[in-house]
Amino acid sequence: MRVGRSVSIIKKNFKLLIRSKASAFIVLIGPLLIILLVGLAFSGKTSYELSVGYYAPDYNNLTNAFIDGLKQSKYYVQEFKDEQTCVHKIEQGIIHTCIIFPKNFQISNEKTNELRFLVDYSRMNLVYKIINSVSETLEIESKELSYSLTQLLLSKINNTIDDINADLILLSELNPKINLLMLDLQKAKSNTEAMKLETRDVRLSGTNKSVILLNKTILSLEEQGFELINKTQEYLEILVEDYEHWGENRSEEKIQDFEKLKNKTITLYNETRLRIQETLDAIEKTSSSISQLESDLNMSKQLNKKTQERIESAKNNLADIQSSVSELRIALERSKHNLAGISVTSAETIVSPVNTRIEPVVSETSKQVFMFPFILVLVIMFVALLLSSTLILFEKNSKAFFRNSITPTTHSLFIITTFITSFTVIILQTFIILWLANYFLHIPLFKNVLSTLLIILVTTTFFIILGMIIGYLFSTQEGAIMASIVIGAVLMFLSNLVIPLETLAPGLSGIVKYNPYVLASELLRKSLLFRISFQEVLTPILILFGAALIIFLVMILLHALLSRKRIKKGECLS
Amino acid sequence: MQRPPILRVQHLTKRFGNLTVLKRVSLDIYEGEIFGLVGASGSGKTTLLRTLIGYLAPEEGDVKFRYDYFVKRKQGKNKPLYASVYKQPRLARTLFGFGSQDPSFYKKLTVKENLMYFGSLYDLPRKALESNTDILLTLMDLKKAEDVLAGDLSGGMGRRLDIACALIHDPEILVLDEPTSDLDPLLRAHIWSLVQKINKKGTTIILASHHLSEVEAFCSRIAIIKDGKIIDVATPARLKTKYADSQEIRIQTYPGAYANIANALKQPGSRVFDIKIKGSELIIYSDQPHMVLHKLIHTLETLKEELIDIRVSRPGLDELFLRITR
Repeated sequence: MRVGRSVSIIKKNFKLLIRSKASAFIVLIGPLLIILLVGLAFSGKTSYELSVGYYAPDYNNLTNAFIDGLKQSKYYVQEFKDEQTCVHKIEQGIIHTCIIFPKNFQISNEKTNELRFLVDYSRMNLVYKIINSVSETLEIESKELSYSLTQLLLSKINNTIDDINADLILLSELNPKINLLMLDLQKAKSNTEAMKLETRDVRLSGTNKSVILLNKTILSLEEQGFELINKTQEYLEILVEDYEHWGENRSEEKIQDFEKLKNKTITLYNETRLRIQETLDAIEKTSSSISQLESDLNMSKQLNKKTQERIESAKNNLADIQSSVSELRIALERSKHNLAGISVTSAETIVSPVNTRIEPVVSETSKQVFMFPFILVLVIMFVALLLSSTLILFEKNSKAFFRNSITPTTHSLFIITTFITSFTVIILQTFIILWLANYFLHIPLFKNVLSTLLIILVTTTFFIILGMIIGYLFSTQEGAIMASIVIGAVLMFLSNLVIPLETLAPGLSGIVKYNPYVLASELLRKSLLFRISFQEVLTPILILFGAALIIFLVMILLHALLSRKRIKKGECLS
Repeated sequence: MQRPPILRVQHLTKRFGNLTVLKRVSLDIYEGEIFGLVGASGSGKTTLLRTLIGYLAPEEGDVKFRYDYFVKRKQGKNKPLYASVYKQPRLARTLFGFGSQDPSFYKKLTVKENLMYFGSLYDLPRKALESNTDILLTLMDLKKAEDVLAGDLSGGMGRRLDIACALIHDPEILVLDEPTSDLDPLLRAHIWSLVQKINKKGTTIILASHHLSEVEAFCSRIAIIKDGKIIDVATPARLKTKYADSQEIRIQTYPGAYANIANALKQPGSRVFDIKIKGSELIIYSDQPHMVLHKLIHTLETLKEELIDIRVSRPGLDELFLRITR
């Protein structure tokens, strides 16, 4: 039956909420309206409606390029004749910023070009937006300029590499040629060394004497030959007489042969003599030539010696050249290697080694997507605080409170049913918002379903209990609403939604990171936008849950204390 | 032989800070009676009612109720069992129905929804709840307005709805705190008629009221409370006998120089205790009215006052109350 009682109380709570027009509007329609407004506020234009003034002491292509860049970014751009007028217009609020171009604005090594932004710092919220927005546009121009410059630089470097490559090819071709040359020289040297150019003691006069002696000998041989032949002839005549004596005619033939032989020998002898004479003549000539040759050889020997010296020198020189060429080649190879070692050859990368291109880590790129978790937790926080405190005060300030108190229904059941009522409303609203977000903003709801659900449940629980504490602490609706708004605002302001936590003092940021709103929104952001494991979000969820448990105990304690106090004071609760 | 009391209030003391609102109050309430509690504003009536239903815890004393109404008892054991309202709060809360001075229901719920809701808090079965609701709507003459938001009801209807809410779980004792305050005489009469009807159904009624004449007319017993103390508890008749030591002579004269008449009557030995001018009437209190009447007629002749009306009667509860609490 306790369930029946609970259902009855919850039904009653819903009826009261729906029939109270103001609360129905604030609690039921309000959050959807907030989401709608936020959606409208952040959708559409990404650039701000900014009026930008500028003053340039002189104009050139560079100045014009920057100004064109501003105009193309759909800013309202206005030119001023001097800096003072521009500043005055900022003071009047007619323009948002004034850009002062430097005199003789051009790119050169000697100059530092500085663009000055004049802004109204009293408009803190706008200043950084203006600077970011306008400087972003100008940065694009600046980058384009740097890009072209770098492109030029790179093309030259590339050309140089090409030249070096060509040189290397030439050098590579030269080396074998030099090797061949050295080989030839080596051979020449060897041949030269092989020549027997040393002057020997050739005594051609002695030869001459020998030839003469030979001639004499030959003459003697002739005499002796004749003598032999005559003797042979005598012998043969003897033989012939013998033969005639014996009656045969064969010796005649032999004698004829001998005669022929004799004639031939004589002929040969004559030829020999002629030849010897010729030889002697030739020797005579040769002797003369040898003398001349000797003289020439002596001269050649000297020349050869000089030649060898030169060849040796040339060889040494060529060896040096080869060594130098090798060194050059190594040096060129090293240079090429160094140049080839420049892995980044994109001009854009060289100009901006660390890119500042902002790009979302998820596929969706609209601001609503990034804002959504913060807005959702914000809505849950404010609705939970307002709704639960409102429900508590509905009861407390209701005349029916007294009647509820005198029934056998325990206070804890009223507390639980108030919690369930608030919880049901907020969870329903959250699911509607999530569905709308999924439909219109394409926010992926099913990336980490379990984590997302758990975060929403724990967050809702925490803020409902906090709201209930507010409800018990305050006796009027106005006070509770004020307290809810103040607490919600403090939690919101001490979060990334308004002030980046990184900019806070270290001590404060250490505390603020445990701000329930920060914990919840960061958790939801991670869960909705990124793929994270359940383990990664478990610890913060447990912290939030622990905090919810603690404040629940505080609420029970507070409720008991306040009830006792009221009864002691005899306050009529109705 | 008188039946044992359904409720025994024993030496009840309640303090709010340094202020003692109830001082050792003791009462017995009997089943089926309409018990009236009268006292000046701030005398502790509401505190007493709220303490005896267990809403406020006393510093001293106890309130005991007939526990045997909730337990099955063996045959032959007729001695009543009592339990403390504060030690058995859940049972005690089903025993009482409470109609508060300010109607205590949800204005944004309809008449029927209020009854169904409060009935559900007593764990009534659905059928019993619907039946009770129907009976009460008829009894309280709210049937036609069952779907009207409670906030849109008139004062009288609101008061009736409040009583209906107090009766939704069919309590043994109905406690009503100022049930007819701020109502016109017609509505007051209607409420009293309802109270009688409820009482006739067997419900014991304890009520606090400023309208002493009505209390006198409808209550079987009356307790007079003053500064947190019960001065007396008795039937109206016994209270009158006990405290009415004089009669009152009410006259109307023309031109009505009542001050002169009063001065003339206030003579030593005239047996006149007190003289009051109340509206167009001059009220003379005396234990020997016939002696005073003689003197009065003589005075009127002397002062040339023309007698328009004259009545002699015993004083009502209002007057007695003033005397007692003075």
